[in-house]
Amino acid sequence: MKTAQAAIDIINSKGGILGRPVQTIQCNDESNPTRVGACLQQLIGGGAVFFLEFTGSPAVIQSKAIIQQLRIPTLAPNNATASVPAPPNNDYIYTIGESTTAWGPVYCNGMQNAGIKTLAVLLDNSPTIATFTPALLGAMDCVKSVNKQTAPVNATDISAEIARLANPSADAILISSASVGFEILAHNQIAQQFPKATVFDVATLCNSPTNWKLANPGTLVGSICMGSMDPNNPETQRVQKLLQKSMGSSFQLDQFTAEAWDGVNMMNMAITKAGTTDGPAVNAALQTLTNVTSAYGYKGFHLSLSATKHNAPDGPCGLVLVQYGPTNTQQHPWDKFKPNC
Amino acid sequence: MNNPQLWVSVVTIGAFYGLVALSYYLTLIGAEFFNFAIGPYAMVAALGSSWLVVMNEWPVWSAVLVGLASSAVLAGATELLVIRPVQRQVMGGELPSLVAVAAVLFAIQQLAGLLFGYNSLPGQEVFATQAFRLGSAGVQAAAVPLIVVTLLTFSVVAAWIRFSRTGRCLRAVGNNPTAARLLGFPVNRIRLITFVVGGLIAGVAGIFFAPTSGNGVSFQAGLTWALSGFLALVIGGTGTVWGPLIGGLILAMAQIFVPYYFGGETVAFGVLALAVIFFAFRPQGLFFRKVRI
Repeated sequence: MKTAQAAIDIINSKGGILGRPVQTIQCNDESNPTRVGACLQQLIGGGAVFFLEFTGSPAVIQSKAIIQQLRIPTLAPNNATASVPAPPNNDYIYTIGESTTAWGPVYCNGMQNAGIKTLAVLLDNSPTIATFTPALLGAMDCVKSVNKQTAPVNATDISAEIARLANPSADAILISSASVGFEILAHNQIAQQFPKATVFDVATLCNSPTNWKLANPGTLVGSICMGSMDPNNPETQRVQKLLQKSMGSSFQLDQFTAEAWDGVNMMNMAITKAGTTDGPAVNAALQTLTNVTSAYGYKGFHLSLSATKHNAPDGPCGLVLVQYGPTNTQQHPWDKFKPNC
Repeated sequence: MNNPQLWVSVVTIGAFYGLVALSYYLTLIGAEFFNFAIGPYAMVAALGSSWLVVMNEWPVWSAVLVGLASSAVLAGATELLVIRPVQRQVMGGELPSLVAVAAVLFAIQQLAGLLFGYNSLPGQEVFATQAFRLGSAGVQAAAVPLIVVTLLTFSVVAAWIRFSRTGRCLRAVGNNPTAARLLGFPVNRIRLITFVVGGLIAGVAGIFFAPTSGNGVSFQAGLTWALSGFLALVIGGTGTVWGPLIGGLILAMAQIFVPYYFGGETVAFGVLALAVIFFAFRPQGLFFRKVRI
């Protein structure tokens, strides 16, 4: 949200959109689906003409029918759930991030090149992950899941579940969780019991640079995660430098903030193209945006929308399997991962 | 059960449960009251000190002292402003004050969420130590201070109860406050001391336990910690000051070995089974005092 506001401030410093400054009004639904309706009505009451949704998947899904009724163009920049931009009630809603359906082939690309044939999976017991993990494993037909252990998402110790990953053992371990804390705990305790294991995790900790230091020193080294940032992408470098002017020199662009930037950018382009803030007109303009250069992904990765394409990425090159280096920071794209971008 | 890593986890978690149970123990023997708000005291100390360090860039030691002071003040305030007035109104009846303290538990949790935010914050390491390997087991940096502080706290409390005047008064006041009052014991003061000391110990537990978990501490931890500490006390009993620690270790064994043998989904069932066994067959716990009449 802070990045989105910074992006809007930059737009306003250049005269705003259609010659008028952009004003933001916020409502916090606490990612609670029961509060989403009231929030949207509050925003409409405040005069909102475009929604940017930075909230959890269940809340976004709950909002679709309301948005369809209100006919307000909506971008959910950080949402990766495949059902959000899909019918029903998807005429006015779009997502910027790569859908999780694209993750399986990307993991397979790297794992096959690395000779990984079997996988042990550690997942948290949240409903989101309980649904997400089987879908992800189903899309990874290149590896066989031989051992699956579930642990409470708010556990303070999962050494028992991790110990069970040894039998039967596998070529690699995949940590699947939507909780940064759980992923950190898992990495810490896997490093204690299996220091030489090849560990993968999903996008959660990967895209939270401020939390990497919370893992025990050295525990993330060599781990591979589903990121979205290639430091060599010129657009990533440009946007990071621009945002560092307002957000401080220590600001580091990550997947979520890059998607927020792209969301504001596409909103700007759509309203400018429509020449009006009328909902249906802006929506129609959104659906004509093609080959928009993205701040995340590999160089040459673009975003496009259309009447039948509500998930913006043009292909899987928005996904980067990144490997951590010696100081628990992300060093470089994993050298076994070779996408065709 | 021959995986040494799991035993390291047992000792670490057991130490924490033991400390929380010790807080319960003190208010039980000193005021004859189950203070269920102990879990939130521990949470406030841990979360508050983390908030001061992470969000406000305070030095760790200053934040920890404020955290400990908060838990002690909350405990004292619970006794003075909630339990005592309610018990006075209902002539010492227990149920209304238990209900009142349950309300305090939830109120403190929600207040903590409002003040410190609804996201988890990482625990703060009070003593900078290094992780090391003990044979094939890894011992994380924060585990050793927790275990050492636990043993120290239990030793100090045992010595306090046995050798200090206030400590010796504790049991007399807790067993029969009316008789103690008639005999000239400063009942109200003793009660307040047990609540404040109990709150302080809860704060120590929360602060030293929080950095052992990568999951950090959230405002919702108070209820879980309250229930775990209570169960540890039920298992260990009140016959000796070391009973809560034994209870904590047994509870930790259930939490580690049940999922190890039966899967991560069974941990709640294992703890439930342990609770039912003790409530049904040994409600006085493993260690209890036999009183000759």
